[in-house]
Amino acid sequence: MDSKIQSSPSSDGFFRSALAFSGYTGYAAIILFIIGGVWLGGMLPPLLNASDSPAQAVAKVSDNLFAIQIGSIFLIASFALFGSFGAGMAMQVRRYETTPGWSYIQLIFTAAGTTLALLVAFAWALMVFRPETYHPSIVLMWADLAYFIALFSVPVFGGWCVMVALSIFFAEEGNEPFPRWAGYLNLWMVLLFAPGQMIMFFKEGPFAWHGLIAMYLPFIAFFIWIGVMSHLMIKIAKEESK
Amino acid sequence: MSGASRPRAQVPGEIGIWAFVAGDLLVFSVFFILIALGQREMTDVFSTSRESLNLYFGLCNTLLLLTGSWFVAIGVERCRDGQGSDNARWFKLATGCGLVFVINKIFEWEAKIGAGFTPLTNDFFMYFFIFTGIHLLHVVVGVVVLIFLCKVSQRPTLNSRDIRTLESGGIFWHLVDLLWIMLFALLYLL
Amino acid sequence: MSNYKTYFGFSTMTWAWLFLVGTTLLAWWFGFIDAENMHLATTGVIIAGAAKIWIIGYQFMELHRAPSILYYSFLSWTVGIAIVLLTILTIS
Repeated sequence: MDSKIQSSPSSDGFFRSALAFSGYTGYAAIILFIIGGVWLGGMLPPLLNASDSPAQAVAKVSDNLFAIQIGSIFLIASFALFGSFGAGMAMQVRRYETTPGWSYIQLIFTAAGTTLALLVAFAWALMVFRPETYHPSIVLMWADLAYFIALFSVPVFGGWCVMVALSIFFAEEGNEPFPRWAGYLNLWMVLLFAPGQMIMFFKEGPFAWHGLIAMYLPFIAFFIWIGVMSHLMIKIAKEESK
Repeated sequence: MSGASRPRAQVPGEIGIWAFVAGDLLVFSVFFILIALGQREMTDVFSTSRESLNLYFGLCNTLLLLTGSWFVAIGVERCRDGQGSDNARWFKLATGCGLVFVINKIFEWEAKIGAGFTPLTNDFFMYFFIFTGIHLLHVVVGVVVLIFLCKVSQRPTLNSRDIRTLESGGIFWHLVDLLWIMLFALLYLL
Repeated sequence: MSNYKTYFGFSTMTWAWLFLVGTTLLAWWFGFIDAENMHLATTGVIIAGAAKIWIIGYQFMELHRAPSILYYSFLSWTVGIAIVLLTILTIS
């Protein structure tokens, strides 16, 4: 019996249900994003370009108004689930603490990341609320805001991954909340998010907010990260029941 | 020597750090290819822009990282074999190399920006600033790792976990060095 | 005192460093040659870079004592990236 683990999950079905739930909401977040962001919403691949003129932005958005409006609802649903997903990772780390430490740090980053993501969805929604009334540059600005919140926030989302990685690497040998390879994966994610910080300097090319390296890479990496960590949480919840 | 047994192959550090190395190499390979494509498509722009780079900065930085790696390699070897005293000094020296690299890079960038070259000047400088910038982040992280290794190497006894930490940290530093080698070649030497 | 094997007074790590520094300086000098054949200069630079990367992996990162699959993966990448870069840079 390992005294370091706070609770013995095989007897704590309540905990296991929470952990599994967190994992499944991670999966749900991915699916909802694919519907709302990829299929309907024009977030990825980007409908707009950072080099679009305000008039072009209004035109593109107006041509796809209803789809993007519906898409933004799916987006907000997706992003809200970042909260339960992140809490799941924190609760798993919490089991390995006597006094909470790393789990607290992770929770704060979860809260920050979730809040930011929600703001992305709000900006996207406002972009298609009444584009005919807003000054065209404001319509474009909503897109700028959405992508800036999502991509320019590397210290938040990247930081989130760092906190997960550190909670694994500082854990006692053989007694880690997640496998060590997951720690390294989290660190790699930070590298993949990093180009997002460059969108400040470019309005075209791969480092603009519609660009291959500054947008596609971080977005895709982020959702792969959610997928992998969700999978791990579900796996741990299932294993503990044996 | 048919009777002698070969030392069993062992993963230096741990497999996780190598997975990270692979991931980093993948990303930087894309960067290298982008620079090469740019060189090919916009040879004149690239060659002209390259002439504005100060080769001495680049050379100095390369030698700093190579020497830092050398120190780290010696330090890790000594710690693992229990040889030498004050093995932390190797990591301290390497940290010094890293810090000088960062300072050097800042001066170099200042000079470039002062001369009117920014990431927006042309594609060459876009790649120059962004890729050396992302590399610089690696160096900064590497310096933090090296400081941590200084502390680890000072422990009176090193268990297998400590050795693994030292090796893994060292491997990350060598990765930083390795990435710079190719960046230096593509950006400064071509 | 150190019981590391030395070759002419230098340990393998030091030899590796000397090779790296030497290759760096050589490539630098290479750049000063009025290369009529740009492709030759380019090839020299990339191959020198790849050689340095290999030494760092083999010696400093201690791949010489790693399981073969790890070493050969690294070697494949080194050779592969050199080939890809050379192809892009020299084949018109």
